[in-house]
Amino acid sequence: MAMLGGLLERPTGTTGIWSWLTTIDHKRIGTLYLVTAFFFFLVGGIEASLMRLQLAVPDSTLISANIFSQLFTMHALTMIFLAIMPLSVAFFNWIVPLQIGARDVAFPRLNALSYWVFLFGAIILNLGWFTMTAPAAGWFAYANLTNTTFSPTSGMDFYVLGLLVLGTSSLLGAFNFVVTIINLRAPGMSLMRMPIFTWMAFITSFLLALAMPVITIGLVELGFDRFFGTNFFVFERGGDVLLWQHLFWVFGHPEVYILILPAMGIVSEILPTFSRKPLFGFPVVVFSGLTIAFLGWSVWAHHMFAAGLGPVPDAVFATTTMAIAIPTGVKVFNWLATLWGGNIQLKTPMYFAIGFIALFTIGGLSGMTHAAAPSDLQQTDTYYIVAHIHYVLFGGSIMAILGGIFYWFPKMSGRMMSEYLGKWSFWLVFIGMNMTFGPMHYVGLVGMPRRNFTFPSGMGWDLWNLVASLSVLFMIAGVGLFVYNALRSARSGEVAGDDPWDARTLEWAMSSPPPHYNFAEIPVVHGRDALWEQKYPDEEHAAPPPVPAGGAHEADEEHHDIHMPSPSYFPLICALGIFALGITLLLYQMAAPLGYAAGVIGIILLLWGSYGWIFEPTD
Amino acid sequence: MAVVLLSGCQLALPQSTLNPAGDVAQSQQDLFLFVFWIAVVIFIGVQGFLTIAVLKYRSRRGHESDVPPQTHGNTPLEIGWTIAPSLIVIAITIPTVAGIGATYDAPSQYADDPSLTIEVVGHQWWWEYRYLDENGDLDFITANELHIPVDTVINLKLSSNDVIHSFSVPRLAGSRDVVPGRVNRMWLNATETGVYAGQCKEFCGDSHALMRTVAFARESADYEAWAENERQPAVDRTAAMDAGWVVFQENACRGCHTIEGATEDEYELAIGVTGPNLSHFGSRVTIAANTLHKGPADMNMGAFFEDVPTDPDFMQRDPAAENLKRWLNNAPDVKPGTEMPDLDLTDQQLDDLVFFLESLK
Repeated sequence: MAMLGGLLERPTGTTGIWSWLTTIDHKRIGTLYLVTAFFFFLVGGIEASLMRLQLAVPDSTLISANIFSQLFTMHALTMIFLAIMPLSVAFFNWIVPLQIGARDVAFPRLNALSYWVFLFGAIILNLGWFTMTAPAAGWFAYANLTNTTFSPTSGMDFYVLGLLVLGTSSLLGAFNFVVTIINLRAPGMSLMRMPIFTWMAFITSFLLALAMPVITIGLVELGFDRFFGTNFFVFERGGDVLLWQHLFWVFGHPEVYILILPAMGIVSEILPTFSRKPLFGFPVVVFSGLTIAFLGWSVWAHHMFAAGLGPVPDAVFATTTMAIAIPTGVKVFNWLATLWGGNIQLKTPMYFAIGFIALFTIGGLSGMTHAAAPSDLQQTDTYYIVAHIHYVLFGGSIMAILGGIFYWFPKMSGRMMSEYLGKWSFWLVFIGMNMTFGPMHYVGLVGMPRRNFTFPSGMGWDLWNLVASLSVLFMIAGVGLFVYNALRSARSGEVAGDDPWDARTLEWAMSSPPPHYNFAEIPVVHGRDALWEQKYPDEEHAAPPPVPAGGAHEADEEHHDIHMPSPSYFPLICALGIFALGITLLLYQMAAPLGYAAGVIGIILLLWGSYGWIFEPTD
Repeated sequence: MAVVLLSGCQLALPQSTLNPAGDVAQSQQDLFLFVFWIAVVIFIGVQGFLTIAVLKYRSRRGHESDVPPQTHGNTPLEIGWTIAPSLIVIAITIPTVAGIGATYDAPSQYADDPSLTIEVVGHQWWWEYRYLDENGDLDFITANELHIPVDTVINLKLSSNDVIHSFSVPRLAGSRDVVPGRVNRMWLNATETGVYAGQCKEFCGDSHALMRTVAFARESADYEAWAENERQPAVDRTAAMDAGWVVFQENACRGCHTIEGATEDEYELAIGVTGPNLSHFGSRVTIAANTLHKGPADMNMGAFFEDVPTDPDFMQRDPAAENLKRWLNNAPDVKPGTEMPDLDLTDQQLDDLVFFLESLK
């Protein structure tokens, strides 16, 4: 078996396409995640824009009902699984090892595997667009609309297989970051000295590791129903359609926190840096994050208030849902207190962070109105909910992610993004977002249901739908400007230096971009905000003497013998195997021999990749 | 925003959740507004504090690199702002939990009200209403237009013929899902007469947006007159209806639609149950689950809901029956995915069929 592995020499290149295909450097993998996920963010945006185009006027016939169903299904799947989650993972990859003073993640090749599996999962999920048979039963895919009777195209097959493959990627990443954060922290970095973003990455990784198996069960059952004729969700033959809803939302609600906790982590880094004071109530912010993650498992059936579970479950889940408002409120108050008394630098990342607080608060408050179960029966499945989730996921997650990109761009690229263009893009996105999603609160309250490919005229919905649609132009302009700014600045932006924001955490201790080994010497940590305490020892009463740490450029020459693992072909080979296995059933349905071929190729690739991986020499 | 919300009654908002015409919708609105106003206060507090903090502590020119006091936290504050939201949450949770039971069954104060039980069956993409008599036996069947007497407890038993739907008429009550394999329940009443719009709220396939319904809340006597007509078989066929009956038969309409004749062979073999029961189609004002109405083709849906309650001769408004012809001629064009086929009729056939169907008062 070692011979199979020996068929490939361990790659050594550091430039060109092969260096990207074989990289196991967490920073390069972070970049791959960032670019891929941002691409899908734009794809999801195009899908959304097409829907707004259709809904600009009543009785529109621009887009057919079926294509519209595909658009809203794929918009949600794309934004959740292919944009926000991997954008968060991009930051985990880039920032967590730097923040904890590590040279890489615990399992660098596994990290590469999780990226490639993600990419192939994304491709499988999107395959339907080539035949215009993308999934069309909503991202929540309620049984029994998803069975072969009501969804006869391959759309739901892409859904099942794409999400199974993507889930594999998420699990690999989650385990990797749990192990990395537990084991690879620099000496002296106790858990309560760990930077807040790393904390949120830590919590999110646990959520991922626990949530993905639940949706996997649902997907396997749905896959068996569709491919092999089982009856998990076929009520006529003893199945139960609500079984899917429980499985989906037991995953789906923690998933919401998987989407928002990293964003909260980003904001909790930006606010202290640009207020030039520590995060207020650090331990409380950590514990409220943990509380949110914990309570997140106890609220799933608030997505099912209308399902008729009965008054007792409705009351229980309404109560637990209300309880989440408490740690969430505590977080907001601590962010406000972080600002209070600071020396606030109104740089672009800070705009996005402050925008996050303003918008996320609105999303949280509207969330309270539909935690009130009887009232939610009116709001559920209306545009009011669409407004709510976009205030949380666009106003929350996306604002934080855009701010995070702006904040860490200098570290990643060595150059600054343009402040002038950055503020323009903030205002365009901020205004566009409020004018698009704000009116949806009203439209929903006056009765417009969501997931409607058209609406009749004269119901009081016409004007605000038009306003919402037109305002999308602001968001397109803002995001477009952001992309232009990033591309231009990557080549010709102002040189950043190590620590352009005078920040607090260790990622700013080395050069920008960091050397591939990150830290020439692993730093020793004596407190929270490790870098800040080195820079301003006088500001802390119990400040330790400054510790010579990473970032000593002049010492570079001496550290060329730092051992870092070499790149590897095998993660990509394994991922190709998983991809082939992922499309086996699809091909089998088209033509049996194709399916067998894909299956055999997939198994061979996976075995070759795995054995090669195991027996790969360390250099 | 609140002004806009509360002035809702000024506009024609036939499907608004903030314009209740029944007790369930009213209590849902009360709870919503209770939470809403608390949320407004918190909103103003947080946004106000945020604005003040940013304005007050923004960096002044020349002082960008000053280091402010490095405050790490404040335990009493943390305790305070944990307790405060907890109290608010408790205040909201109490009426929430207290109100949940009343979304399923009418509370005891309605025990003396008259009541009526209707089975609601969801189909892709239309509603079947099966009225039960006081013994719980089937009284009569109709579709898409729900007629109820005012100030009466209407118990709805919800079931599905295919996929999950969700029944709601927002001005009367919020939604309850219609789940295959289960019988769900909800109740509502109308406290004022009127015509209210409703719509399926759970995505149920391509034409989900066109699975609408209309609720007519009427005085008891008016309701009873309507119900009595529904209980009767369809009118006997007259000679004038024969041409349309032929079209109906030739196009296999009877395989999917029922027309209950006074005798078994009056509407021979028109016993299909795939589509709506057409025994009294001529007395309905909407077509295809209110995808279209029977008013003039250029009348929008909002105007329809304004005119229908006040115009007893609404149906005479469009003698050309443009909307109905559009539907009969090519149903899938109007409602994507419907099982009703593209019949592609001649103008004469259409005229005959319209006459026949509209005669089924």
